[in-house]
Order: sequence, then C-alpha cells, then structure tokens
Amino acid sequence: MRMRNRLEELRKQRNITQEELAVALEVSRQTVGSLENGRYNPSITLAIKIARYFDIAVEEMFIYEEEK
Amino acid sequence: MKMKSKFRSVILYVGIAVFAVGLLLTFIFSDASGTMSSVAAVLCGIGAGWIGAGVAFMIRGRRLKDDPERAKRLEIEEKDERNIHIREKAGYIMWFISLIMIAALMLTFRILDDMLPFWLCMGVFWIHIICYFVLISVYKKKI
Repeated sequence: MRMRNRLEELRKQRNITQEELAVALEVSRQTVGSLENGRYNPSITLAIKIARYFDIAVEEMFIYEEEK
Repeated sequence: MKMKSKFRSVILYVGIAVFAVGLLLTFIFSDASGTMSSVAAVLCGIGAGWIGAGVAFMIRGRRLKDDPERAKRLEIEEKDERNIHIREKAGYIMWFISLIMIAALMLTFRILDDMLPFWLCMGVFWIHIICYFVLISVYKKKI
C-alpha cells in the first residue's frame, strides 16, 4: 500500500510557505515537510484538518494506492 | 499549563526534601563508613539534581511567560503528532536496548561470580519484561 498526497502541489498553488501552513495546522514545520515528502502519514484528525484548510475532500488530498 | 507549573514545583520540593534527608543522614552518621554514608551521599546527589532540574524548569517557565510566541511554538512542538510518534518509536526501541544492556550486565556479573548484583539484575530483567506485558494488557483495554 502507498499513500500519496497533494499537499506540496496545493500549498504552492496558494503561495503558502511550509512555515505558514504549519502555523495554521498547529504542527511543526518539519511535520509539513515530512508529509510532503511522503515520509509520514498523518492521523485522521490531521488529515481532516489539512483537507478542511484547503477546502477539499480528504480523498482528494490523500490518494491511497494499493500495490499490484 | 497549570499542571505543568505544579509538576515543576513538585520536582523542586521533592529535590529539597531528598537533599535535606541526605544532609540529615550525613550529620547523623558522620562517623559511619560504608552503606549509610553512601546512602546519604547518593540522596544528596539525587536531591541536588532534582533541585537543579526544578530551578531550571522554573526559570524556563518564567521566561516563556514573557515570550508567548515562543511558548506557543514550544507547545506545538510538544504536541506535534509526528514528534509524539518519534518519541514513542524511540521509547519502544529503547526498551529492547535496555533489556539487552541488563542481560549483558547479568552475564558479566555471572562471569565475575558476583552473585548479589547478578540476582539484582535478574530481578530487574524480569520486572522489565513483566511491565511491558502489563502495559500491553492495560492499553489493549484502553484503546
């Protein structure tokens, strides 16, 4: 299984820095970096918070890919 | 936040109490040598350490009161779910490392034929393992 996300893409689209996003989500900047790199998968709470921040559905932000 | 400031004070007061008991024992057993004088010295050491930690926490707390922005940033760092995950993972790995270290100590004392520390290490070894399984059972019910 692999989890992909569009965090970096959407953040850049809106011209927001990692630091600004981190402040808005009340997480550390390193967490935003790890999420963008795919090194860390967020909890459901954080995933919903991120999706709400960008005003999209969680499934649009986080894409679950099953291994073939 | 209130809980934290209480915790800071508790550290300081426990440190003062332990240090005072150590100091008292030093005066009572001033002529004694061996176990009692060692216990007094150890208590003074532990007490001094706790006093130091308590004072450091208090100074940090006062400084953060004057700098709410930094306090907020530190609070976020502390509650950050990735940081919590990292701490939990490190703690879990540390459990295994501690177990290996205790086992190594046990083996060393057995080779040296020093039986009291060997049995002490054996006790700690089993308590370490039992605590792990007790906590697993507690969390299975909680989560």
